[in-house]
Amino acid sequence: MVRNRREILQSAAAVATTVLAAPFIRRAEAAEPIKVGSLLDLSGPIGTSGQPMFDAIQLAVAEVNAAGGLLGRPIELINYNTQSTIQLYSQYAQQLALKDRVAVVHGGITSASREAIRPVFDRYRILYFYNVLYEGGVCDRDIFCTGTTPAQTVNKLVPYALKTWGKKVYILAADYNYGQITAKWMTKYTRDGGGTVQAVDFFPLDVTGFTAAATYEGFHLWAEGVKKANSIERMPVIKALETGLSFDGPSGKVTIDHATHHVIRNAYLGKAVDKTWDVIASYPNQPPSDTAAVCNLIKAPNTDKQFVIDVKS
Amino acid sequence: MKPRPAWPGLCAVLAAMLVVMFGLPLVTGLFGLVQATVFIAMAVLALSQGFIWGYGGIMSFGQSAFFGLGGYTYAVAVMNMGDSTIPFFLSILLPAAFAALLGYFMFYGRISDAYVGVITLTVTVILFNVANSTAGDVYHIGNAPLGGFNGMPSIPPLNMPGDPSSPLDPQQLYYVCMGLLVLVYLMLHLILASKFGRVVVAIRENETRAMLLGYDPRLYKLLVFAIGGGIAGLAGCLFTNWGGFISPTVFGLSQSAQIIIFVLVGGLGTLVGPILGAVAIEYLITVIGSQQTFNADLILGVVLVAFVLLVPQGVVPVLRGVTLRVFSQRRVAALPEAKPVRP
Amino acid sequence: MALAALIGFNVLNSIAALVLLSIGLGVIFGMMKIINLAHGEFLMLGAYATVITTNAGLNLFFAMLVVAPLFVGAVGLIVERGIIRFLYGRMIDTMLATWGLSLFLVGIITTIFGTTVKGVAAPFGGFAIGRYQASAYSVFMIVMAAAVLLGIWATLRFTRFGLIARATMQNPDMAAALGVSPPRIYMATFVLGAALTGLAGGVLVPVSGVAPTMGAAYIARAFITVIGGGAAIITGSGLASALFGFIDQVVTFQTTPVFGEVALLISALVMIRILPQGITGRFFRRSL
Repeated sequence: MVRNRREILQSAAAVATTVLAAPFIRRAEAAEPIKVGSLLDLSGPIGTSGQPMFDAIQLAVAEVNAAGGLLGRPIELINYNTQSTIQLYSQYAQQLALKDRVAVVHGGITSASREAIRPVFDRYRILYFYNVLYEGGVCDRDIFCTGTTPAQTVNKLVPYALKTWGKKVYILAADYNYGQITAKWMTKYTRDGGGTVQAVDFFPLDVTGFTAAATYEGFHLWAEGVKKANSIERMPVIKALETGLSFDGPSGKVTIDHATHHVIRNAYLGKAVDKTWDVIASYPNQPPSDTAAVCNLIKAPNTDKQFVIDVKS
Repeated sequence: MKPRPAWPGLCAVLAAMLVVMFGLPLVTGLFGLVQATVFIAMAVLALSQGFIWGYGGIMSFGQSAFFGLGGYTYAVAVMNMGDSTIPFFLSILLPAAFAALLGYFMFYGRISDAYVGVITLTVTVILFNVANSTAGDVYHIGNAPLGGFNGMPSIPPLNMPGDPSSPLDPQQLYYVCMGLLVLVYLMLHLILASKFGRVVVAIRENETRAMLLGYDPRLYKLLVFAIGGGIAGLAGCLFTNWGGFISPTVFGLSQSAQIIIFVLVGGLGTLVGPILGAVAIEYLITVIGSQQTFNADLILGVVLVAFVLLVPQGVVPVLRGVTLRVFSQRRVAALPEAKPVRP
Repeated sequence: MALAALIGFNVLNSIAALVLLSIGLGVIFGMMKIINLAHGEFLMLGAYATVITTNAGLNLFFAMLVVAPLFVGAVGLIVERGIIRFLYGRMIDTMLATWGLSLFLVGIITTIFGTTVKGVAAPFGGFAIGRYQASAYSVFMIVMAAAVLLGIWATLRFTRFGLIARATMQNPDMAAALGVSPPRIYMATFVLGAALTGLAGGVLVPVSGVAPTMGAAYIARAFITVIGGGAAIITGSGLASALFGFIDQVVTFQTTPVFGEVALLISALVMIRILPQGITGRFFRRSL
């Protein structure tokens, strides 16, 4: 159950930190901590998604601290519970930027929450990582999106489904931006694969499921950027990340794509068998081609908006 | 006796507000002012509810509808027009007009008080559902995409009147918001002290008697509701400016409920009460989210239940009672804030 | 032909769901004229009681039909004695207190069980209506809704308790003069309403996601059905559920569920405008 897993993670992190960090604690304590901000919903309807993400970033921070911190300084995680309320996202974003003065923020779950805080971090010049799968299209030099976008997953899932279960497809999606765009991609890939879409229906938005793995990877990617830039200042870290840094995480290698500020990552097609994933196929290094179609930060580094990706089928 | 405002109380409150307005920037940094700005926007929203409910007797469960309309109107208008002067006024007038329309539907249809709450709640849920489904390029008004569930980001802030190239910075926005709060408070106080205000309160106390005296309650309630709608719309405009963002959650049920809680905690039947209630509750919610030990809902729930059982009339009336007993010589307040009739 | 049957079946299902959702709220509102904003959370508690006991090995139907109502009834008793009892006659204060209670319940369930819990699959499988598939569990829900309405009607009409309850609803002072204690009756009805809601929560488990915040989705609809129904508990809730359920399904079928919900709400608005006391304020006035 969730409760036990959380406790195990926390105690594992605590033990790991104590055992491994013993010789380093003295030195780390002397240096001033690097503040990392986190904005996640830990209560309310979206709290289901936020709690695992919070566990993941705590684990990642503990790992980095156990290895001696970053640039010789310990990481201090400052987390605010946005209680599934958009207003609190804006409020705490301002607090992290103006009062706590963090070096980076990892957070936001729904696209709405991301869009609420993106302008705040743009304005106050705070580096921001959005670690959740979403509909694609964000084109902004101050943000890195490590979650998958439909082009990286749907285009593998649909052909498999067509092959395994037949050519007639009924698409059911939640009636909001992510659902609608993903539905468009599914329609396109279905038609590309020779199938027919019988109907597309949308239902009112409830709660959707997101992963915590990207949070873990996102934090480590930032840490790599800091190490390469040898600084926690925003612009040097951005430039370091743009050189195409990678991190080997639970899902394999994750690499930053300069032009889109999204990631090239592996996609896996898996079947749920007996509470584990049976991996049927792997697709290494899937580029974020949907966002790449609308966004090029190398040519136009001052872009700062989310494009609605037009899916032509 | 000709109605007049209660000068001593009014001056005291105005003085306090002006002290905060000019004193706060001296004691706190940029973050403190930015934080204060959203509290002030919420205070204006609470004032709208406090006015129509505490004095007008109209139990609206949907002030968030006008709040959201004001915010969205400002966003759409400023994205299309560039200069923020007209959008600012539109964000007040459009919600007021909508409130007038809804008010006509309700009060001229002789809906009973309890059902006003249901209708306003339903309207706000409808608006929420509609706003949520405006995702996709199809749904845009001029240059402004409505964004659906994702909302509208990067909304241009207010600028100096007539000069789009000089937008207000956060500190200036704070002064504007605080100044508007003072103005709205003053305006409501004067309205209530006027003949119009007296009639409104008379209608709240006993509608039949007011009718027999020759006043048309439907018209007065309509006007009160429209004014409340306009003020809520203004709050929406300020809120949108503070965050640079708006999304359908402004129409949400929990937003509506929060407004009612502001007024109840602060004190129904006063004007200062809603302001203090809004600031206190918003501050409490902010602090709750900054700690991870206790579940946020748990704390808020306990606080609410405790308040209802122990301090049901709100903080300000209790404080006022205490102050009156201390300074018991003076006869206070010509302002009709008596005990509102609660169903 | 089969399509019409399918639509008809879905309409019945939608009505049944509304009936189950709102009957508990209707009993409490009809008797005491208080609006319990923690209604959605009582549903949630019933759902949790069902899921936890079923996953621990108890038979699903025993869990949803016995354990859930008993558990939520007990919670209702504590709530009534601890909070509601002090607020009779103060409608706004009860709304605020029950709103606080709903937050508290969500918070405490989240603290104890975390944000998710494993659900339960719908039993009975499916059956065919012509070319179309329908869920056999829906039949069970329709039967349950009918049984609940019938059960309450029978209680109010034929039992001594029902008689006393109806008397207290009509005229509490007269009932008191005749030796009945209205506070005891209010306590009993609140517990009954809570138990019914717990039952509904249990029945809904196989067709709904179970999370601490699941209650919020239902509160608006239940609320509107009860107010739209009017003073009479059974006829009112029954007719309102029938009307709104019908409109919702028909519009959803033509367009999307979002429009279906909006249509339901708009028709509720129009209906309240035309019939300010609810359906049973004008028609079937003396019914139960």
